[in-house]
Amino acid sequence: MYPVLQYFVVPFIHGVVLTLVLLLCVAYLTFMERKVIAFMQVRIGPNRVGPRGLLQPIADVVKLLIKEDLTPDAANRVIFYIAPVIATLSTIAAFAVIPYGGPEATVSIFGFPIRPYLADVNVGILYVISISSIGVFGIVLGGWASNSKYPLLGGLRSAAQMISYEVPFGLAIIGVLMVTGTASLVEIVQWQQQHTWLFWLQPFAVVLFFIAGVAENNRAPFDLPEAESELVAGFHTEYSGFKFAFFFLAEYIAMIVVSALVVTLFFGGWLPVTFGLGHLFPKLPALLSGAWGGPWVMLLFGMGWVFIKVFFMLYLYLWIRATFPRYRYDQLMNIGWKFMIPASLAWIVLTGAGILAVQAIRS
Amino acid sequence: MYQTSELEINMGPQHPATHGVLRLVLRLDGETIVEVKPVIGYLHRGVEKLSENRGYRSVTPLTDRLDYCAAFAENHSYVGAVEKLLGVEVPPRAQAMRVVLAELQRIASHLIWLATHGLDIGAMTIFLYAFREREKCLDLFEGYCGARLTYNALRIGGVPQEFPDGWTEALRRFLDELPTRIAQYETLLTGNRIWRLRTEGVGVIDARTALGLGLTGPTLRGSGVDYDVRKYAPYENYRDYAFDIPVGSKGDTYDRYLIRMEEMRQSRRIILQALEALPDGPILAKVAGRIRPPKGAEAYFMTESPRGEMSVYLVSDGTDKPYRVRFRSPCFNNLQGLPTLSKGHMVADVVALIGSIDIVLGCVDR
Amino acid sequence: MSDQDQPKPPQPPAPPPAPAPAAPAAAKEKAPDPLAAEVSSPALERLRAVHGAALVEVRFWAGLPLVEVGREQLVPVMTFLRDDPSCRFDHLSTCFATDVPERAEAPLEMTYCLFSWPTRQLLAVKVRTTAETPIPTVSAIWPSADWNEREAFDMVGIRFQGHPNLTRILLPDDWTGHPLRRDYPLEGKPGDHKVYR
Repeated sequence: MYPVLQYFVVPFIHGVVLTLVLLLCVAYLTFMERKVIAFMQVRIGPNRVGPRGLLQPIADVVKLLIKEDLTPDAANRVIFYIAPVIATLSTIAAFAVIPYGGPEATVSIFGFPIRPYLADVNVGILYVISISSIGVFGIVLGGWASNSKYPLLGGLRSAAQMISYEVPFGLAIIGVLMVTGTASLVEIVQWQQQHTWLFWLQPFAVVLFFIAGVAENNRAPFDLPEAESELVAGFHTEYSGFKFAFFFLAEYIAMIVVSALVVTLFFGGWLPVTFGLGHLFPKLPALLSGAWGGPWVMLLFGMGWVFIKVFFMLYLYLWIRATFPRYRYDQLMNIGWKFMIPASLAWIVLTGAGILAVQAIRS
Repeated sequence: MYQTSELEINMGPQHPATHGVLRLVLRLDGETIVEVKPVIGYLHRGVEKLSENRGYRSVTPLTDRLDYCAAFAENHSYVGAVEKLLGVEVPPRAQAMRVVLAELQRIASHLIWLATHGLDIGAMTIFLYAFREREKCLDLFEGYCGARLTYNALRIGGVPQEFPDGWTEALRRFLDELPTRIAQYETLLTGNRIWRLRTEGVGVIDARTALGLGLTGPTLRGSGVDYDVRKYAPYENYRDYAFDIPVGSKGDTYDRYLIRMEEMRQSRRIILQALEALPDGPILAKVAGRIRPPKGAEAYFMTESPRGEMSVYLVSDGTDKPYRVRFRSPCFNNLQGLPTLSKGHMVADVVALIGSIDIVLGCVDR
Repeated sequence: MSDQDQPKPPQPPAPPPAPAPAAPAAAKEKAPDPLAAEVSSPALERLRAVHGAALVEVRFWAGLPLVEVGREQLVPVMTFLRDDPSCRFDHLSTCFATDVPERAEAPLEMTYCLFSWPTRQLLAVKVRTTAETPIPTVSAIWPSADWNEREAFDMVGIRFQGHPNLTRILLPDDWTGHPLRRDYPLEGKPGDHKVYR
């Protein structure tokens, strides 16, 4: 009808809304992190701002906004400013292809169809991996541009770490591609709808993918680039105020992206959890996915399932952080190169053998 | 032409992992340590000079400020030195009470060590768990002497007061739950693969080098030397109690960790024995109101503080002020071993090693 | 601060190296204190037998043998104390400097507290010097003496011959003066440091 509106304005608004929702999620993810870890550490956590501390993230944002924004004298100003932007934008962009509902949950607003994902790219997985690896530039450049020793060390560590773990991160997905035969995230979930969660077929790949994801995000126990007891604050030592907030955002959005990827690739994305009862009660999946109530209900249910599953993955992140000590730099590299990469390669071989075996049995 | 050069990093005096105001000048080859040079003195308050200008009794509060994580141990060695100088015999009941308090202090100090050591290596939860129990130790100290950190809980010739009503019961309750708590910490750390990777084989030091460097306490015992002042130069009535001195075999950070965990259990054992056989009698020996040891009197009193051998050397010139007070601080001597310990390791290991030798900067700089 | 250095200027000649040191030392006390009684110490017996000539004075207080040795014999005596099987002073507990201005001929005194955990003996070895005359370092015998000697240099101003790195340790490098000297006021001297005062 109005191509300009449909292909430029509407996706733009969609993206803006998605970003805003994402930012809100990050704000409450920090709150959740503090509360969950407090709970694990027999503390109370933030409970002063608002009812049960629920306004704490807002207060944090306001604090970061009105804080003095320092730039070191010796810093390379341009790169110093750009680095946090690169880090944040690349992680936000990765969210564009993550579906939070099936194509059947497409709703129409003012006559424009709004699909529950920004884009269904047929190379979705490649897109996510490549765009999220741009994030490392933000960190390396931020560490280098600070012109200070601790950030430099942090930046170097993070460059080595992210490059090392990108390999198993990508290799762990190969098995999924081999099984489903598509790289589009929407189609992968649809494949899971027809067959079963890929988790049951690729359990080891999930473990590898998640570990590599934690390392990619510089989260504990792989938080070496910002190991506070060694490098003060790592690459963002010299950052303050809103530039710091951008790095902070990047880290938490990256957490959400990796969690959403795990959910989409292995745990059936927007598909409902039927606890294996789908075969006993054939109507259960339709009931739980909201198929009884039209696209809006399906959209809501799909988002709800994605939200719940992502929530559990994020909880896992926090749980790991509260439990484990930090690895040392050389040990991290050992795990990356001597365990993760060979293991993921072996898993690809095993998957291939499995596929051949299934084909042989079927024919 | 590419060339590499060593990076010199200034770690501290303001740094999250240097346990105060320690400054380390690190020369790095990549992430590997080429040289560590500790620079100390940022917390130097001249306690030895101050002590020369105060009466014997007024020095005790200063000793609180040396090792503020184990103030009782510092009180103890100073008061013991004055008693030795004067030839005062402490009543048996006071001796037993001192042992109870000293061992409680050891537990509290080892708990704070565990907390910070864990945090340095990145185990965050252990920090709060250990502080939970340390809080109970501090409550007990507060119940006894009214202070939570700087106790000043001893008098020359004995202890100031009996244990208050209900105090020993509270102590017993704490000791009853302590083994389960230690087991909890060990569940988190001892078998933890990452913890073992981070501590095993890090900072190995053999017994001869460790002795030569003057390391004492758990840092030395990790190398297999069972030198503990409580056994080798017993003071108070430590002779009367049965306890073991845990020693390590490899002399690495993991051994030192295990030793401190075991020492907490042994301290509990000592306290229980001391409470069981608390003798009756006075708690304060008769000491002249104005302490004036004869001229030329000199005494050296060694105690086993949680961090190692804490000793005080006193010289008298016949006046009511000590002529010279020397605090032999375990942290000062243990820190001296840090360059040897960290040779060839990585930046992250230095942090683990600072935690492992368990220094308190107040004690290092005096 | 009042009782610091009551001027006792005379006390002229150095006490000659006493051949049988313990007896005169005890006799100097007006009424011999029971705490000053001699205690048996196998290490001291051995030391007397082997290095008797190096001992300037031997006193006791509360069971602690205080042995003063001559500057020149310090290293041989210390090496002997560490290596002799009946001494085995493996552990230099601490060493520190004292300023005794009333002893004008050698006002600075270095005390080494030795503990032998295998034989469970404690021994204090003293050596006297002046601000100008260095004494040999024992950091080659016990590496732990390194920092302690630096502190003695920093605080009292004793110089050590052969010390690997004799710089200030607790005070800033550009401090002037040695605060643990008796004539150094408690509050410090004006101008003893350019930045801080």
